[in-house]
Amino acid sequence: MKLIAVLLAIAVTAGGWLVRPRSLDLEAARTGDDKLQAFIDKNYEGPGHRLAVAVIGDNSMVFAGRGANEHGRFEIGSISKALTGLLLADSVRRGEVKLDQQVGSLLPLEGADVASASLEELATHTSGLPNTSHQPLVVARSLLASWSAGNPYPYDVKQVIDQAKAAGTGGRGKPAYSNLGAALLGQALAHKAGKSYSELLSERVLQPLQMNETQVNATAPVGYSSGGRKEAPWAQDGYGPAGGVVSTSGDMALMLQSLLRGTGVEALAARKDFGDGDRIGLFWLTSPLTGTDHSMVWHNGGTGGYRSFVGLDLERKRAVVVLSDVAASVDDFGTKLLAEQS
Amino acid sequence: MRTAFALVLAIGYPLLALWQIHRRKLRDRLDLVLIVAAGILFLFFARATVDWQAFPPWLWLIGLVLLAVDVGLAGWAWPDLHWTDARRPGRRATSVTIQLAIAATLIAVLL
Repeated sequence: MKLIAVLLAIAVTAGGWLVRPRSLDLEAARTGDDKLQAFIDKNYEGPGHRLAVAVIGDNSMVFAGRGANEHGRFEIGSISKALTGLLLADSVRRGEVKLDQQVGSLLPLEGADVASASLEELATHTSGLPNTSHQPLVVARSLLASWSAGNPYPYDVKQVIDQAKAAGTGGRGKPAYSNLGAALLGQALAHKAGKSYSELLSERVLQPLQMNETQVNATAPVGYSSGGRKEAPWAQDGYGPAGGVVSTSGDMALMLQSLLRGTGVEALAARKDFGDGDRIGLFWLTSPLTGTDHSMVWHNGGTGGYRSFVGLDLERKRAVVVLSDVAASVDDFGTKLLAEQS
Repeated sequence: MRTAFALVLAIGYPLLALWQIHRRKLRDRLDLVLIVAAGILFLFFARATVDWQAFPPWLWLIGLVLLAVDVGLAGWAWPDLHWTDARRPGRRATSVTIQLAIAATLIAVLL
């Protein structure tokens, strides 16, 4: 029995070694600009695998990557909300909706607390909706997804509406980040236009900017947790407006350059305080740019196996994109990259 | 908080088990099997829930090594124990089987 126990102990050690959490290193294959590569070498500190970086001016774009070029596909997570903000600004410009319009006038939310929330409240995370539904089955599914490296947002549009109807809106007017609210807003705009969110975003934001590599509810290559565990794709239909977009650094650069040139920039304008010195526009946040006397407009994103960051310095007309397929924050790296642009 | 809890489970539990095995605090062989299964479960739980960017991955390896020592020491404790030391062996066997099934299911999810 002692020999068997020793053999089992060796097996446990060997098996555990194989599945141990580990720090990932950036892929060796380099693409793009040498100077930007040097910045990555000097400043990127977190675990990494595939990484795509871009620096954008109003008339220039520079790319660099590790294991990915400007066409490499990444889940951009909550930067999807920033796209939804652009879509909302466009719908307002077209006269289809108003920011003070109640979401209940666009979606069948009869009798629910959230029906009286305005589109602006949804876009500034002040509707009072929780981050995600508190329904027991949704919470349990989310926990299971977290443990099993799965997708916590597998819901269709009807399920998102049902979750919003069941949710309370206590604390309306105070900032409280809400994926549910962002998803509901995107679906409301789509419902008003008589299209799916994917179709509407494509028609009004992606195609005009020639962002041909960006899709909603699509699948990107497998991403990794910060401990190196493979994570399932977060393909999202109902929650697509909040976090379901897959894109490339090239397409993100096109979006940011358009904003630097002034197109759709009304979505970025800060409207409300968002705490900790931050202000918020139509999902886009405005914060002091560390190390400068400028401010930056930005959004970040995260899924099970991805992290992303986009930031703009509107005064200096510079913007940056950072996309990673490891769930370790790239915010500090992106902020530093933006601050160092002259 | 969740991270601290997971790390304490991953390292503290096999340490506690080590003490129990070394001091012969276990009732029977079923206890031995259960604590090893629980140790594996807590290791996988920590692997899945801890932010390994914020904490060094070698912390997990400490838990792994402690668990491996538990398994090895169990070989020495095993001959001195009966399969079950309960008034109602059938009920205890059923209880342990259910607990092991739950542990196996959770490990499969966490894997």
